[in-house]
Amino acid sequence: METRRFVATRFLESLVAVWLGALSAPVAAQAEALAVTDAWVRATPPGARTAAAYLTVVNGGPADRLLAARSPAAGTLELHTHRLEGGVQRMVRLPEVPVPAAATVRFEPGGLHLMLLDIVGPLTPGMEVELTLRFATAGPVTFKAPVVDARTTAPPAGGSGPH
Amino acid sequence: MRALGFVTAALTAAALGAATWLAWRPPAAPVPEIGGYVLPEPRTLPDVELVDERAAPFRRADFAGSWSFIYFGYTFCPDVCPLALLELASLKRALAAKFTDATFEFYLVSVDPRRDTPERLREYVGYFDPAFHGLTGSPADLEALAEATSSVFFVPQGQGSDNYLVDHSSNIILLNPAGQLHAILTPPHTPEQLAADFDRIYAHAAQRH
Repeated sequence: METRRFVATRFLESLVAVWLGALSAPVAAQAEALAVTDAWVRATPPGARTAAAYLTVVNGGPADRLLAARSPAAGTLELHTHRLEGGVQRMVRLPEVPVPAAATVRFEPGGLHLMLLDIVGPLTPGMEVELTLRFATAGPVTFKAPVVDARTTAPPAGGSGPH
Repeated sequence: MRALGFVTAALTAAALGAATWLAWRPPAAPVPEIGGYVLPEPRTLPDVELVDERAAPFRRADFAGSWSFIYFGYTFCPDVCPLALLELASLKRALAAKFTDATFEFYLVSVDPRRDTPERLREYVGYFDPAFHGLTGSPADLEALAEATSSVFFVPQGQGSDNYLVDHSSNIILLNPAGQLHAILTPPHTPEQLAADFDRIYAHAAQRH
């Protein structure tokens, strides 16, 4: 009996191990498949209470959705884009940003961006801002974005630097 | 009869030709093609009462004397407004290097006077260029200036918090040294395109005088 119970227990344990493995393996694969690159935050003019962050999401995995973002540097983060409607630049808050399978989504000046509201203090060149993006499938992705003064320095990619 | 008809037709044609010849005048130089519109006739602005970044009153006559580039925006705008002001700062350097016989002023007109005080405007525009100006005013005066420059904006009403977004035109408005609306520069803007457009506008304006 002892042996049989032991065997049964071991069998259950191994089942759990396999089950856990099955759960964690795809998560790990997806985290590797989705990456955030070229992130930067626009240095703020004096007195600013808002800022914008830009980045590139490189998704090598299945379709995903960016649901939210947060940062210790700001009270609230919102997903925004700009739409030109009849000559009017409308900054629009998005409930989520689709990240299609095997696609690259760029957050760039004048387009998609993360808006940082109620920033805790001025963001000056040399600083790094921690950002966390929450994806529907890939889960949270945390990274650090340098603060760039676009008056004098070219942003990492796709941005508008000095001309 | 047929001959008479022919003569009549010939005479008519000759008369029309002569009339056309007499009526013909050299055409006005066509307005240059730019990223936007040059007004066929510059338009006088309404006499709005604004306030500048030093909290001093600012009237339409204060635009006179320089070419003025005007952008409608607000300082809480984290993305397109800094982008536009960076482009204008770059344009300012390019124009200063090229035009020694013309002067230029640059204005951010804040359509968000509730949050953008003159002090706030001064520190904001000064960040992009120490010579930049900030203007704002009452909603009625801002409306009047916007309407006269084919600009629009929308400030949401009844905001409980200070975190609201403002929709605004992204055109750059160009006034001539008489302080009249001269051209509307439509996006996308790059400093190179804006400088090239100004070259054409300037040459055309010089030709007209």
